[in-house]
Amino acid sequence: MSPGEMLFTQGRPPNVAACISCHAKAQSDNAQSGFPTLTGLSAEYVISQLKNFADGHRQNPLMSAIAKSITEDERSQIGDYLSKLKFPDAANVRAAKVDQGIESIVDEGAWSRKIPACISCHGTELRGVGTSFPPLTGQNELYVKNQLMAWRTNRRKGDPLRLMETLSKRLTANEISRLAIYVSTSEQSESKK
Amino acid sequence: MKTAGAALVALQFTLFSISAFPEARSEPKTFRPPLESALKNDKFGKMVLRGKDIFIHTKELLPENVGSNLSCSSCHLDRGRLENASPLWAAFTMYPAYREKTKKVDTFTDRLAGCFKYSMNGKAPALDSEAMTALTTYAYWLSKGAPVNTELKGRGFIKVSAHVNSLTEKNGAAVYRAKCALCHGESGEGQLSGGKSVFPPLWGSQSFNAGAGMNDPATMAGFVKANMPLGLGGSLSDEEALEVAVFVTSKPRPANPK
Repeated sequence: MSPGEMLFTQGRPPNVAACISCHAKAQSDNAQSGFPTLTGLSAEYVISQLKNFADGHRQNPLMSAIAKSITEDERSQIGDYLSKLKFPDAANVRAAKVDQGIESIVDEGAWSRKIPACISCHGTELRGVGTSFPPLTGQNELYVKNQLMAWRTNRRKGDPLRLMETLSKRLTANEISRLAIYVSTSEQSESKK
Repeated sequence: MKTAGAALVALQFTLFSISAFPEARSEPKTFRPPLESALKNDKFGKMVLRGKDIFIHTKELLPENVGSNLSCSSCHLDRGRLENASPLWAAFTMYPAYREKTKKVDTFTDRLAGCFKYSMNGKAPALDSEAMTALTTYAYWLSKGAPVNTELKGRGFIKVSAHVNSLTEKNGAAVYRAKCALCHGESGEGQLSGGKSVFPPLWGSQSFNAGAGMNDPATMAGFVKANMPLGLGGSLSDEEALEVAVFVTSKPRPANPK
């Protein structure tokens, strides 16, 4: 078992709880809690978020305390382990009647408000691009909503170039709720591939 | 949402013009292309949508004609609709035109062929092909109601007021690392997702060639200033925009096919 897998599944008592005790591997198992699914995220992304929690750019009573106890080496070990796993497919298929207003923001943007298409950074089908733009399809709805709202209300910082902070402030709260539903589900035809 | 926004703008404008500057002339309004929802599902409408598809997925749909990892929409943002990102509606209405580059009067379709040859480093489909008809039809439809042979506000790119000096390129490398590499990569190679280009390559074999308009630092600076980083347009100073443009255009890329 790699050190990263050890940390993920068993933690390092007494200060570092096993990640998996909150972050389930399947999207559906995180739906109620709103804890993010971590498997398949890039190592760089995981490391940068652990840093953000440790230095206060991101705030969460549980994660802030745990992140402060995780050493730099351990961050890399966890990141390395998670990056080798698969990001889950969305557990739920989008409703047959797609939210077209939201779909057009995702695919084409809302340029009258300087909002680029979500796919122009998060990639085809929002499956993520490179190390800095995480996949969204397959993440749970509550988490996506909470993060967009946290950026919008200055409770989350540390994103590269303040891109998401800036863009979340151009969205309405209503759009954020609907975006979270949209991105956490998958297209009907795509899911049958 | 749109209606409310428009009403608010109109109201602000009214208040502004009555109270503060009763004699102030309004700025020329930016042209608004038609909404896609207004398109009819007939043969013309289908050709418009075909043109839009090619515009966005140029490489996937015309693999023989694109020699780079770029599509039309890499530079013409918001599907060719966005002002100051060379919108199609401001270009379509200015052709036919004499161009120094070709030393002849070019039609709009000739001009499209130039984009394939230089900006996408490929070879245009035949001028009378379905693909060129589709792209021209898309541009024509976007231009509904625009005056012909009249320079429209938002055409092409803005001009930055900055000058090149001995430090420009070196400063540009720093701007690039700080603001551009996140998406376009440390080596300007761009980034793919699922085999499709998401962040366009800015130099190297998969980028535009040396004959492209974007290879002129002043042109690129205008694009960058208004539009980059994507979503944060206007955040760089004129100097930074020119610096990074000089840096990027100093890098190797395919030769000018002339």
